[in-house]
Amino acid sequence: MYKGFMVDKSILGKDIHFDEGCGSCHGGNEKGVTKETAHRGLVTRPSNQADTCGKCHEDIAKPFKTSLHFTTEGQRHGVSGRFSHKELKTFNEKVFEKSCRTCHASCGDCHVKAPVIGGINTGLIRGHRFVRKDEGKTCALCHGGRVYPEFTGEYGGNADIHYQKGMICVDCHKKEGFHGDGTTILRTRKEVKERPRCTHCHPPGEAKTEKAQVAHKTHSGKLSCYACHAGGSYRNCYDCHLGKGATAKPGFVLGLNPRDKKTVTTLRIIPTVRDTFASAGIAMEGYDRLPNYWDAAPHNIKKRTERTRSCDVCHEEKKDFLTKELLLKNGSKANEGLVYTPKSIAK
Amino acid sequence: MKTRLGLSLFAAVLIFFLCAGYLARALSSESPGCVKCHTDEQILKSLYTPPKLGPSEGEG
Repeated sequence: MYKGFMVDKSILGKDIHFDEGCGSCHGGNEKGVTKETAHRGLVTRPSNQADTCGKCHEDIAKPFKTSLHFTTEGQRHGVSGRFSHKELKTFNEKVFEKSCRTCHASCGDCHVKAPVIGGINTGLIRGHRFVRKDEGKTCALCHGGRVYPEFTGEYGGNADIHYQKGMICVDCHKKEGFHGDGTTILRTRKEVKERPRCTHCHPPGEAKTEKAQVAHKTHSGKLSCYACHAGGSYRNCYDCHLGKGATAKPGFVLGLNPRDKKTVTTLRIIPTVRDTFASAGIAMEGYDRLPNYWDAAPHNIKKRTERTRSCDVCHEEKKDFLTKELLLKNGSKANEGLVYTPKSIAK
Repeated sequence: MKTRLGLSLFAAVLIFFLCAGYLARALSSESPGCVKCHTDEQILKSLYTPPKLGPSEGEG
């Protein structure tokens, strides 16, 4: 839509970013009289090179190069465990650089123009103003398949309690976390030191009711907060094929966290299937080394759920727990290690 | 006669410089190409070409 490319003229003389002219960041030919000649040599996303912003914002742009948003290293790390050494090399050359890496976030994707998803975007955030945050036009576009619609309630069910209270993404996800620390190339969001934890705002032992205090104490170290406080179904993606995408269905799965094999938590289906990368010539020799379920952080938190109301939902009905019968057909052999059956409790 | 000719010449030169000055000012205040098109809704609308969409590779 052309409106996404409209620049608000009123900001041109006021914002220091425009002092050196459009071409200082975007290149192109300012003397060109047609669209084609004016756009010759155009740099559509100047901040793809973080150094563009780093001329003045070096303290942010330099460490940003190590952040997961910039490197997209999480996408490589998520699948690389399934590859042989040779396959990883092929993946890096044929898939990661040409597909995954194109999805990385630049400074501008969050501060100037909404990121491009599937070839489309909503354009300039506010007429090319440089904004600090506008999550509905930035975070929501890249994270709009799963967590954001869960958070706002657009994926069904209720909106997350934090959303209902008026909180936004950056209230929990601090800039120190997603701007990178400049020292370590992280492989996964779990390695982010400043990543949000429920206990930052809800310290253990401060629950208001005795029932909640007992429940928290009993399950401490055995159960994630999500297992009881996730408000309902969340999005699971299946059957991803390179270049063709995946299909999605709502679901709710409880099982052992694949990262530690001892904590029970909410699991989300990983869309990678045996022939996901077949078109790139990658058979995934180590496919069975990783499961098809991964620990999930559904963003549809509720204070009271059916699990917080009654112990029976888990301990007697065993509702939503992963069983051998429910495992994905033709899935990874590693899935079996995530099956968990809660013990019945004496009445 | 000489004085009148001098005055006319002076007036002509003055008019020339005034016009040249005005023209230069008008040209210098003209926005560069990018600003001109990207701040004018009508121009931008006429130049806009919708993107060709390929298959989406995932749902984030």
